Amino acid sequence: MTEELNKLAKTFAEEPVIKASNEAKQAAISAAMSAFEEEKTEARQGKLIENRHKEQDNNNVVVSTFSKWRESMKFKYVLPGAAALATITLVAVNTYQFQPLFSGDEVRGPKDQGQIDDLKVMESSLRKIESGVRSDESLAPQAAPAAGLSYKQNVVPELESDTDSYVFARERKRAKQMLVMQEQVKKKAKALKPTAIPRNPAQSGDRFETVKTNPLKLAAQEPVSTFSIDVDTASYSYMRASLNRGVMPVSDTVRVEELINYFPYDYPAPVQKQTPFQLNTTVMPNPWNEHTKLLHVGIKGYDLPGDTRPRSNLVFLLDVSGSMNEPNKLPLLKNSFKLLLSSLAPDDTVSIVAYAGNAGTVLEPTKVKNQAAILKALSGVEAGGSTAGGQGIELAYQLAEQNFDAAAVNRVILATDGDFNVGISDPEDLKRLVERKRKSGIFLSVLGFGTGNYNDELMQALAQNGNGNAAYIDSLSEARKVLLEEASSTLFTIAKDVKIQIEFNADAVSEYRLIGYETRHLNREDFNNDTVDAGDIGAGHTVTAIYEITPTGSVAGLVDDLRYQSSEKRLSARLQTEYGFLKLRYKLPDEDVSKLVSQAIRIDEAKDDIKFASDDTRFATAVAAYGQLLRGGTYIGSYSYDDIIALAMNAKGRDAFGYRSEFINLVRLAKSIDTF
Amino acid sequence: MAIKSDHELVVQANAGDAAAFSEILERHYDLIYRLAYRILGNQQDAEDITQDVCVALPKKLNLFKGRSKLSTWLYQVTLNFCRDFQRRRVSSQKAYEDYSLVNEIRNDTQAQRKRDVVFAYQMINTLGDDLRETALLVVAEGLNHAEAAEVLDIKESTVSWRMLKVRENLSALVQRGAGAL
Repeated sequence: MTEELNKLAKTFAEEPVIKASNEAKQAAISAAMSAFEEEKTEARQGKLIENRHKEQDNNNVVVSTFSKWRESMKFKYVLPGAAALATITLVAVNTYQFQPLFSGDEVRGPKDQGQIDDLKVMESSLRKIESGVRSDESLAPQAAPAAGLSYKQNVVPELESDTDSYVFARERKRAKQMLVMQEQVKKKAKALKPTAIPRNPAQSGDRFETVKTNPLKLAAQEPVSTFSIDVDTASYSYMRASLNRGVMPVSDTVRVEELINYFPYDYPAPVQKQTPFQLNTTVMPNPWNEHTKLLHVGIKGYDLPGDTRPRSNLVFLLDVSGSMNEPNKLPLLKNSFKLLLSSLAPDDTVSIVAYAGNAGTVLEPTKVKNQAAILKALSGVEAGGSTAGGQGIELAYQLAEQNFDAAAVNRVILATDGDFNVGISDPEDLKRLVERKRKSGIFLSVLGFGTGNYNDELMQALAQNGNGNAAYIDSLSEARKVLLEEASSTLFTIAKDVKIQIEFNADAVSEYRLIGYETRHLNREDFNNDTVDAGDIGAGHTVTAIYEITPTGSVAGLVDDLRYQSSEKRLSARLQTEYGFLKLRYKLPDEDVSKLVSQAIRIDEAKDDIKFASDDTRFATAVAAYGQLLRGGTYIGSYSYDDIIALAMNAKGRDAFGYRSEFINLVRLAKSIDTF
Repeated sequence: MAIKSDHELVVQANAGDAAAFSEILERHYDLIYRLAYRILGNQQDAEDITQDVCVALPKKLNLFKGRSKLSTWLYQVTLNFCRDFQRRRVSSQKAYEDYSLVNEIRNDTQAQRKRDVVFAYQMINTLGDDLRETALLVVAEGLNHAEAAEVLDIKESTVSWRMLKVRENLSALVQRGAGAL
C-alpha cells in the first residue's frame, strides 16, 4: 500500500527545481526590505521618543542609547556585499534625512475654506498615524498641531522588556485611533461634498464604451479603408482578469485589435530611425471561411539600441482615493512602480503626485539614483479620500514643466482605478488640457488598476489625447510586461499620429472587413490631413491589423452584384496583379509634417495555405478569431474555441515570455466558463 | 565573516539589522516560493504570494520565538498566506490550476518526466484540503511527521493518521485506474 506513496515521493524528488523568476525574487526582496525599513524606523522612533522622555529624568541614558544607535548605523556602513546590500544601507542611512518630506506639508490645496482646512488637518494627522510617524513636537517641529488630539499616549516606556506586547499594544491603540479619525473624516467629507463619489448602479461600476463591430464594406462602393493605429493592451488584461474571476468578459470590453496587439511579434524591423517603419503584408486563406482570405498587415517600429535612449522626466500621478485600498490596486501599484524604477537610468528624473480629495506633491523631481528618497516617499503613500483627478493632473503637469528637458522624454504617468469626479469634473475639459499639454511636449500614459470602478472609456480618451498608451495592470507579472519588457516602447515614442490607409482593387476584392479598430476609425480625407490626431508608436512596438477580404467571383459574397453596374474601365495589366495598396503616414516625434510609406499588396504573393504563413501571422489570426468569438462571433461561422486553441498551439513559436501559452490557457478557461 | 545560523540572523534582524534580514530573505525565498507553487499550482500566484510573505516578514519575525527551525516556521507562515489566498478565489482557481499544469508539460521538452510530476500533482490534488497540505509537506517537501505537525499546528499522531488516509486514497485511485493521464 505504501508503493504509490514511494513512487510519488520519488517523482517529487526528481521534479525539476521550482524557482521563481529572478525579477519576481528581486522585486519581492526589495519590497520586503522597504517594509523592513519602515518597520524598524517606527521602532527606532518609538525608542527615541522614549529616550526623550527619560531625558528629563536622566541625561546619561540618552547619551548611551544614542551612541548605541550610532554604533549600529556604523555597522551597516561597513557591511560588504552585493549591490542589493549597498542599496539597503543607503535606505537605512538616509531615512532621517528625508523625513521632513513626508511629515509636514504633503497635503497642499486651496487655503480659502476653513472647512477644507479642518478636513486637511484631520487627514494629515490620520496619515501620520497611519505611517507611524508620531507628532512629538520635539521630533517633528514642522508637523501641524493635530486638532486637539495628542498622540503621546502612544509612547510606551518599557520597550525592551517585552517587544511583542509593546507592538501589540501599539497596534491596537493605533487601530482604535484610526477608526475614530476615519469616522470623523468621513463625516466631514460627507458634509462637504454630499455627492462626492457617485457610483454606477450596475453590478460592476466599470465603464466601457459601447462598440459596434465593423461592418462589411463593398470595395466597389467604398474602396478605401482608413484607421489610426492602436498600441493599447488594456482590453487584454481586463479580459484575463475577468476570466480569472470566472466571468465571461462583456463583449463591449473586448477590443479585438488590443487583444492582437498585446503580443510581441517578430516582424522584420527597420534598420534606421529616419524611416522608423517596416511594412509587412501577408494574404492567406481564412481558417474560418474557406471562400474568403485574410490580409494580415504587420508593422514594426524602429527599436532604439540601449545606449541611445533619451533621458526620462517622468511624473507619476497616483490615485490614492479610498477605492484604491485593495490588494490588487495600491499595493500592486507601488510594487509596479518599484519595478519600473529598476529599469530607469540613474540620471532619469521621477516625481510623484498623489491625489485624493486634495492633490499633493509626494516627491519633488528626484534623480533615479537617489532611490532611497524615492522608495521612502512611495512607502508613505496611503489610500483614503475621494478622487480629484483633475487637480492632480494639473499639479503633475506643473512638475513636468518645472523639470522640462527638451532632449528628454517628458511624460506624466497616471495610475488609477478610474473615476475623475472632483476637480475638473467635465471630461471634455480634461481631454482638452491633456491635448494642450501634449502639444507642449508632455505626453500622458495611463495605467489602470482593479475592477469595480474602472472607467475605461475616459482612460482611453485621455491616453489617446495625450499621445500615450493605456494599459491595464491586473498582476505583478502584467506590470513586469508593461513596465519592464516593454519599457522602451511605453516610454519612447518613435513616431506620432500614425495612420493606415488601404485602397482595395475592386477588380480583385469585392468585399472587405477590418477586424477590430472600431474606435480608431478615420475618414478617408483624414489620412492626408496632418491636423487630425492619431495613435503613436513606441520603440520596438509592433502593430497588427487583419482584414477579411472576399476575392471577386467568390461564392462567399454577402451582397449580390448589381445588374446595371459593371466596371467598364479596365485596369492596367500591372495593377490587375494587386489586391490593394497599403499606405502609412506618420510624423517623427518632434515634427508637424507627416511622411508617407507605401507598398502594394500583390496577388501572386498570397499563400496557398495558411500553414505557409509565419507563426506570428497565424498566432495573430487565432487571437483575432478569439476576440471576435468573445464579441459574439457574427462573422466567424462555426469556428470554435477548440479551433482557436489548435491554431494557436501550432503557431506558438519560441514564446520566450510565455504570453502565448498563457493565451491558450485563457482560451481554454473561456471555453469552460462559456460552456458551463 | 563566519556563516551565521538562522536564529542569530533573526535576532539581529529583529534588532534592526537590515543586512541580516536581507540574508534571511536570500536564504529562504526559494523555500517559500516552492511551497507556494506546490500549493497554488501556478507561477504567477506563487510569486505574488511569496512577495506578500516577504513583505509581511519584518513584522511577523518579531513573533518567531526560536523554538523551532526557522524553515518550519516559514512553512507555517507561507501555508497560512496560501490558505487565505485560496479562500479569496476559490471558484476560478481550480480550472486555472489544471490548465497551467497541462500547459507546462507542453512547454517542456522532457515531457515524460513532466508528465510524471503532473500526475503526482493530480493525485495529490484529488485529496481533500487537509490531506493535500499534509501530503505535500511530507511527500513533496520531505518533512517528517513531527515537523509537519508543527507546521500545521496539529498532533503528530494526526499527521500519521492523515498519511495513512492518503495512502488508502492513492491506492484506491490507482486500482480504479483513475490516475491514468
